[in-house]
Amino acid sequence: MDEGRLDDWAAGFRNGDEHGFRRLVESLTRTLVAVAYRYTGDWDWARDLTQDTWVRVHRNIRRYDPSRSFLSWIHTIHRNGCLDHVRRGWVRHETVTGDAELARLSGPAPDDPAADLEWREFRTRVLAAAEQLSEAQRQAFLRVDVEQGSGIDVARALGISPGTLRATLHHARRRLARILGGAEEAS
Amino acid sequence: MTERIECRVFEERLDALARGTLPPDLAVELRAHAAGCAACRGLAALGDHLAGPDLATLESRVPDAWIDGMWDSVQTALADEAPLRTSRRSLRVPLLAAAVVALLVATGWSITAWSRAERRSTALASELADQRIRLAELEARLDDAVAPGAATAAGGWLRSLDGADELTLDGLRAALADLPPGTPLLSAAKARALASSRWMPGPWRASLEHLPVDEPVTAADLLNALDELDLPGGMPVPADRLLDLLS
Repeated sequence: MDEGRLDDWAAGFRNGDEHGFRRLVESLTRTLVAVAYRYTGDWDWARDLTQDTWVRVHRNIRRYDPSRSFLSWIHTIHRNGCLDHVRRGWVRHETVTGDAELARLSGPAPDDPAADLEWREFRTRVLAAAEQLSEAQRQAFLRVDVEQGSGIDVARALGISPGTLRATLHHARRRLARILGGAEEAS
Repeated sequence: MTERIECRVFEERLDALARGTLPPDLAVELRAHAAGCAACRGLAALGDHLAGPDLATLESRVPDAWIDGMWDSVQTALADEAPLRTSRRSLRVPLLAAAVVALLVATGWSITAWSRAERRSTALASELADQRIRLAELEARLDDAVAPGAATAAGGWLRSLDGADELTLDGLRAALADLPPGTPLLSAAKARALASSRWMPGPWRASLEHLPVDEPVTAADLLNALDELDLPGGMPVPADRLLDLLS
């Protein structure tokens, strides 16, 4: 992905060029849906959350600083939208029916709805526990472990060395495991 | 926290264990270790939960129809948010409006109150979105490894240490967490001097040995080093000596 081109399209859109926005939508939707799936485990939500992100981008493009990376900006907006969705309790705004592609992706209904619910509850606890990390640890955990960003890219985005990122992830994972283990013992 | 060597090996292999790419006998050994170690068991559960197809695989599964259709669905969502255009009145609108007025008057409402509620709802939704964008901007600032900003942040942090009457370990952690993670605070040479300082207690010295040796030490590095300490958070930290070494 040529980030310079994305920045140019974003700058153009900021100046009123809707074609720039369309090019951004066509270039980044696939990645954003995949990232949202990593947060939610559900393709329908992933698509909805991605649409929400694009609406926010369109509404707030004036706040984008063209001297900064558009990719970083939109990923931050998207990440916050996914986290808000989990915090709100996985509320579905509307039920999508008749989507053959969604049916193909999602497969048959889960044999064990309880397992599906358990997965969602554990994911909610993991992301809530991440709120107790330091900001550096939280960002490292979300960007690497949840979103599966590359270590080099994440380290550069956070302004730290790859070695520091590895150490930060080590502490983030250990602390999360302690928090989650302590929550289970207390329950 | 002091970790046994087995725990370090476990964590190094955790990603491969979750992906199922380890040799079976090694996977059995690591699972056996997790069975006896609560910390690593928790890590394994976390790793198993987060495991799954990588991002590239997930991207390949996204239907092309969704990419093509996203533009239209976004346009529809944006149009749904647009205010009613008063220039596009039809004959039906005044008749409907009259019926609505009659209905609202009959129920004790006024058109003004209804419009006000709509505008407030739209304004609140817009404000919520704006707050999310501001949060995104604040988080984006964390992404900037900008030397001038970092130097200013480091200078401000040192001045705050200077003014601290009593600094605790938790206070030091909180102060470091306030800085952008990439803020350079110590040269590698100063970090080595700190680790070998005679006044530095043993546990502190051991934690500082994990600091990088070839590049400046950042706020994130110091936080990681402090995480290695198994000391009470209320333990006092000699701020004046720390300041002497950091300045």
